[in-house]
Parts: sequence; structure tokens; C-alpha cells
Amino acid sequence: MMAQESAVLVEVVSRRFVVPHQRAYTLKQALLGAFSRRGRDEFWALRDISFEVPAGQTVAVIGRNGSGKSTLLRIVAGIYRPTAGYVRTRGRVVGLLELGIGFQPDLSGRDNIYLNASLFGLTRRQVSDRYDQIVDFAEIADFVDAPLRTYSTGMAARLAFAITTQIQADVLLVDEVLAVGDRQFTLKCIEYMKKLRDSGVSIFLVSHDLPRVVELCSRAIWLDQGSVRMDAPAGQVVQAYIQHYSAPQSAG
Amino acid sequence: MGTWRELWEYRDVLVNFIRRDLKLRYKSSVLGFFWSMLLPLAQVVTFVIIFKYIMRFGEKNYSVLLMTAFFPWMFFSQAVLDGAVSFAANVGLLKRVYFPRLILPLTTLGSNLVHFLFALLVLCVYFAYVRVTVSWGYLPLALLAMAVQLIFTFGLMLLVGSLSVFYSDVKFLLAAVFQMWMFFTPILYPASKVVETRMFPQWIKSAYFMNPVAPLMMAYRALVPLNEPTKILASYWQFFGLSAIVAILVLVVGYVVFRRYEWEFAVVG
Repeated sequence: MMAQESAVLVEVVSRRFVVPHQRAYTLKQALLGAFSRRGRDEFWALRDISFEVPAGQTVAVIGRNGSGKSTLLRIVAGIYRPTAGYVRTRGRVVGLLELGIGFQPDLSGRDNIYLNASLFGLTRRQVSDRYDQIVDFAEIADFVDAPLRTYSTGMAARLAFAITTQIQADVLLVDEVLAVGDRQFTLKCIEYMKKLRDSGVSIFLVSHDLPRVVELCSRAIWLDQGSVRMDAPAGQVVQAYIQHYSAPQSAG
Repeated sequence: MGTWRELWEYRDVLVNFIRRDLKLRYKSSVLGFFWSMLLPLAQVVTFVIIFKYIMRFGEKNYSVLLMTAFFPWMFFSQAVLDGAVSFAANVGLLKRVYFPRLILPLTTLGSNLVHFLFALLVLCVYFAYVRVTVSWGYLPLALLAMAVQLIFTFGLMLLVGSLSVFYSDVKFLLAAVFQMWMFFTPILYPASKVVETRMFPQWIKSAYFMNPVAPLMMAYRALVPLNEPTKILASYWQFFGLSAIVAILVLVVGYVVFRRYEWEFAVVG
């Protein structure tokens, strides 16, 4: 394989959302409103985004709330379709938008390991091979057959994280949810991502934690109202970002 | 096509989801399975008391007549009613992780099918107990009917599942429709009663048999002699063909609607 092969290619991607004024539609409203488009707003969460992530690069996406970061991450993860443009990815792409996805309180720790890990693309066999490691790492050996609802919050979080450490990915998409939790947990996550980065996994990270962005990523993309405002080495982007928002005239 | 290869790659998710549904339904115990059978069995007992002893139906083996159609019907209605919320109830999951969306209705169909097969075992035990003779010659027809039922069920699931993401009242409407639908399908009574009655003109009788589920129930009943005069089945066999055509059409429409809206499921919730 060539070194310049891109792991993620985003080509002039735009995404529009249509927001009905009312949350839940009924059939009657649909029939009455069939001939009009009233009662709906639309907005563009992303406009003409283009960039390329070479294999092995670690890229952060920063921006204020509502700048389109999560939408972009979901489009790369395949959860949303772009309204225009396209995304190409190479290798196995795994989205880590939340820990413990699909966890079922009434099922045992063991069942939840298999369930959650399969959502991250691990086969049954792969999970079986890594099962002991997961249980050891989460320190729940005595509780694997107990229902998850009997676990403490800490145990459940450890289990969720232990499963994610076994993910096999070429491209890992991480949302800031990983940074929640206590300090020790955050450090563990950072440690884990550094290890992945050093093993050549491309990481696409959405984060508010600017010092971490500089520490972890070689490059940062600054999204502002759905457009790329800056795309440069992480240190430069973070500096410009901080300067921009600390300047009083651009507050709000 | 890429869709099928992708589904195959995600087969472990499907298997894990089905296991999850069954474990939650049975609470991981054998006794749990019998608890889950309690409601349908209570219904069967009630119908038997009403129609055999109070209404004096006079059918031989009424309980057998009832159960041969009632169990497949329960599978059908439960799968479609569950299918109505298979996307809507999982929007949180759809927002957080990518997997082929078809996995969700396939999970609902799969877990309901496994449950139906377990229920069939109960049925077989009962039939052995009351010494029912089985006309094995009709087994291919019954299996064909089950294939049609699966196609029809999955098509309806895709259709109502996709719609109920956007329209919250679909599932309420469905509950009412299925209630009526059961009574207008030969389940509580043999189809011959409808053929023989003088209350209805011929066109109403024909309309009755255009119900795509009716010929399927008659096919299941053909397995047990005396259950459904096979004469009637023979003269209404063309409705079986119609049923198969409707089932395939519904699957096509359901799949098209699903394809049209699947990318909105994670957005709407």
C-alpha cells in the first residue's frame, strides 16, 4: 500500500436538516399537510466540507456547540447520509460515539460484552478470544454472570471501556463523550488513544478539550457554523481558536 | 449486491440481538418460556369454553381446530406489532452506531419465529396427548403457506416500522386493525362456516377469502383431517395464489418505503 493512501476522504459534503415545528406527527396532520410545506424549518448543519485524512493521521475537529462537529462525525461513521457530496473511507471504520452502546440492564455482564462488542464489529470468535482480557481489565471477574443493573456505575463504565480497548479499527471516530467521567478515567482514555495512534490507527476526534487536542493530534479542523474555518497543525488552530473567542468583539 | 454482503458481515449483531430479545422475553429460564405462553394459552382456553360449551359450535376437536390457526396467527400479529416499533424504539441506538438498518426488523422477525417454533413444540405435545392424526400429505402446502406468511409478515413489518418512526399513531391503528382482522380470518371458526352461510352473497364470500391470511390458515388446518373440509380448500385454492402475490407485493412496497426513509430514522428521533 502507498503511504499517501487516505483513510478518510470527505468531498464537498453538505448536510441539511428539516425540522418540523411539532415533534411528533400524526397521520391526520400528514394528510392535512400533504400539499403544503408549511410548519417546517430547514437549516444547513454542514456546507461544502472537504478534507482528507491520510492513513495513520490523528485529526481533531473543534468548534462551538452547533458548529456541525457531531453531524460530521456521524456522516463519516455512516449514521447520517450527506445531502450533497460524498465520503470515502478505507479499512474498518469504527465509531465510538458513546460507551456501552446497546447495554441491556437485565442481561448479564457476559451477554453485554458479546452484544456491545459485536456492535463495534467484533465477531463472536474474536470476542471469545478477548473475553478474559476484557473481564480482567474491567475487574468484574466475580460478576460476569450477574445482571448489569446490579453493577455500580463505575463497574459498568469500566466494562464499557474494557470492551472498547479490544476494538479492531483502521479508522477510529471518537466523540467527546470519552472525556466525561473522573480524572483517572479520562487519563486512561488518553493513554489508550495514544497507544492506538502509535500503532498506526487513524483517529478522528471531536473534542472541546483543547490542551488534549494539542497533545494527541497532529492536525485540527475548526468548524464554524458548518464550514471549515481553519485546517492546519493542531497547535496553530487551537491558538487561533482561543484568540478568536477571547477577543471581546466576537463573543456570542 | 452490497446490501446482502454487508448483512452477512453483521450477522453476529443479528444473532446477538435475537438472543437478547429471547433472553429478555424468557428472563433466561425455562419457566420464563411458559410464562410467555400464558397469555395465548389463556386465550385458547377462553375461546374453547365460549365456542365449544357456551355457543355449542359442535365442531369435532374444536381446540385443535383453533390452535392450528391461532398459533400461526399469534406469530403473525405479534411480529408485525413488534415490527411497528422496531425502528422507533431503537432510534437511540441508530443515532450512536452504524449497522445495516435491516438488522432491526430481522431481529424482530427472528426472535418471534424462534418463539413460534417453541410454541409449536407445545402444540405438538398437546396434539399427541389428544391423539390427533396428521395428514402428512399436506405438509408441503403448510410449509409453502409458512413461506408466504414470512414474506407477508416481513413486508408489513418494513412498511409499518418505517411509517411509525414518523407517525406515532400507526401502532395504535395497527392494534385495532389486528383485533378486527383476527375475527375476519378463519381462526376461531372453520372457513366452511363462511362458505355455507346464506347470510352473505357470493361477492362478500369472495372478498372474505381475498384476505391474504385466510388461505394460509386453511392450509395449516389441512394438516389435521376433519379440521377443514379439504373440498373447500380445493375450491378456493386460487386465493392461495392471490395471497402469495399480495405477500410479494407487500414485501416490495415495504422494502421500497424502507429504502426511501431508512436514512431519516436516526435523524427524526
